[in-house]
Amino acid sequence: MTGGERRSTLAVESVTMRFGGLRALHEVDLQLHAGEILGLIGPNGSGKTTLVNVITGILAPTEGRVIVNGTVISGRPPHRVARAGVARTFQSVRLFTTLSVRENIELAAVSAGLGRRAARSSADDLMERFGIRHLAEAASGSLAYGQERIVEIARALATGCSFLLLDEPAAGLNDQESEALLERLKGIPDEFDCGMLIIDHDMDLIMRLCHRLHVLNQGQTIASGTADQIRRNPVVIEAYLGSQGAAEAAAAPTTDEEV
Amino acid sequence: MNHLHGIVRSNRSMLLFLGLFALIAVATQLSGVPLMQRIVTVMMINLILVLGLQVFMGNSGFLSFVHIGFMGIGAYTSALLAMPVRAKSAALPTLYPFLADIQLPFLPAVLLAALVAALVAAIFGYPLMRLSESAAAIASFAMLVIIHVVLSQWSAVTNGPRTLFGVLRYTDLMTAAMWALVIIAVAYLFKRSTLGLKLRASRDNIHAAYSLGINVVVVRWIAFVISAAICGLAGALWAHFITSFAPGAFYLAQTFVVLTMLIVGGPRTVSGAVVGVLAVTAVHEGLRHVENTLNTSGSLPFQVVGLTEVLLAAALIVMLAVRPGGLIQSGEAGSPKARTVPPQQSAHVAAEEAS
Ligand SMILES: Nc1ncnc2c1ncn2[C@@H]1O[C@H](COP(=O)(O)OP(=O)(O)O)[C@@H](O)[C@H]1O
Ligand SMILES: [Mg+2]
Repeated sequence: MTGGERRSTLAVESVTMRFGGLRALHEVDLQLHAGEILGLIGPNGSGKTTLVNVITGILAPTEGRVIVNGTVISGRPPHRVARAGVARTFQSVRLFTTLSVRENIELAAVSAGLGRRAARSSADDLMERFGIRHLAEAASGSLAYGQERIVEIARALATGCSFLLLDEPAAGLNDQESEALLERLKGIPDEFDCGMLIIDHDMDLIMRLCHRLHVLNQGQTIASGTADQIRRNPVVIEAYLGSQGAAEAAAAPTTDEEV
Repeated sequence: MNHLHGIVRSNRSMLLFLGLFALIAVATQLSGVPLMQRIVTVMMINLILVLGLQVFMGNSGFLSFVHIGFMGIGAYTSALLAMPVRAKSAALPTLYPFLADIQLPFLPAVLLAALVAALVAAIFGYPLMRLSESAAAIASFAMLVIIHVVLSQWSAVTNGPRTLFGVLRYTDLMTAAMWALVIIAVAYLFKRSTLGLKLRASRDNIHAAYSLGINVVVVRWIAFVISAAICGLAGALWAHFITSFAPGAFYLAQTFVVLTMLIVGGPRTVSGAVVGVLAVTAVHEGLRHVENTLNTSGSLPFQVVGLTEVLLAAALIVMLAVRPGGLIQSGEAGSPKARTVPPQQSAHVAAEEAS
């Protein structure tokens, strides 16, 4: 990544999010650039999902703002944030269960402005890319969990997004499935010319996948830097990685969120 | 030839029901039995109403009680536009001059009726589309009440709660059947259209729909307006079949019949809506016949009144308890089934992908 070129950037600027008395995010700053993979980690309840919800317009931040390529998008409704090039997946998978897998992905492309025919072939390409072509006609409500996760990622990419936010895509997958997922995720930023933010508790996956990491604890940024820097950071070890190691964090049950 | 084959294949369900209803219409016409012709004509009009409702309810997942109000708006609009000037001045002496002095032919009157119903839906429906499912259902009921009150109190235009006489009879069995066939096709095409797909997606998962850039409120609103136009059209056809009616015709009793048809049949599918109309009409007419026979035979020491309604209501409750999705819940009748992935195969595929 050379510094000279102008890359598209998503910037979170001192965002604070309060739910009544609870402060879920406190003055968080974060930047995501096209072409990079940024890992967002932290204990359960540290505000990771809330941050994604603020970026995608499901929540309006109490303070601060979110900026995409110089345009403020915080305060916009979610569908307009999506049209600004921000796509996401959800911590609890959200497919259109009565539509087929192809229709799920095709619809995303249509919503991004493609014609029906072009959307269909784009959906076919994406299904090929993610190895789910054989599921095209299947009702998406009938898939195995791991397949649902993949379909949801393919659907988000079909919007032609500049920024892709993945909320715990490896949660609930077995080791083999996680490994396969890692292979499929690696090339996304280059191939689709987008920036990718990924939340997960699987430290092995995160460390191997991400160029940079950002660590939240109780709504505050406690560290950010390369995988190596984070692994050795005493504050992060204390708050998240802990003495028992990351394996436990990966195994910890994740609270099911509202959105 | 291949091309034609493809069209037939992907529209099997639609073609099936188009054929069936064309057949019913022709057979009834040839039978020459006036009672049958009457029943089937009303059934065709009910079919249009139910399909109008299905376009909105089935695809959006929202419940609506207001659509019979749009039927009423369509009925009065078309009646007023197509009535002969002299009959109008007799029935409605205080009617506004710009309405009193015109008489349109059948087709423009019917189309304008649909348009007026659509306009009312567009203006007053928008706020409803922003509400949650349950709030929108209640609000739609409130809207039905408002339309009913306006129709029964706007004496200059509707003759108040009294019956309006003198509407010309234009609708016959074949007219009703032809429109029913058109609307069957419209309902199938809408469901498959981009708009229909977006609406069904928002029904399945609203947050996911938003996250793809779909403006759910607007999509819902457009569907609401289209479905109101269809119900307005049905009202116009009905007005020119019955020829005299009062605002009470567009209220709870009719709402109940139409909702029962849709819910029993299965609101999510067009074929469900169609089958619901057939089933409820058959049961309804059958029960009415039984009721009449019982009452005239004198075999019971009392008169049975309302048996038909009570049994239909009971059938609706049983249906909701036993098969809440209706007779045809997901796949359209007659079309190739969507594949479901058996769990073993999924596990196998996952393992294959990992290796
Ligand atoms: N919509 C909401 N209303 C109230 N509290 C919320 C809401 N969403 C999240 N929270 C709270 O905010 C905190 C952060 O939650 P979340 O962002 O889901 O954490 P993470 O994704 O890091 O596990 C938690 O204490 C959670 O209970
Ligand atoms: Mg979370």
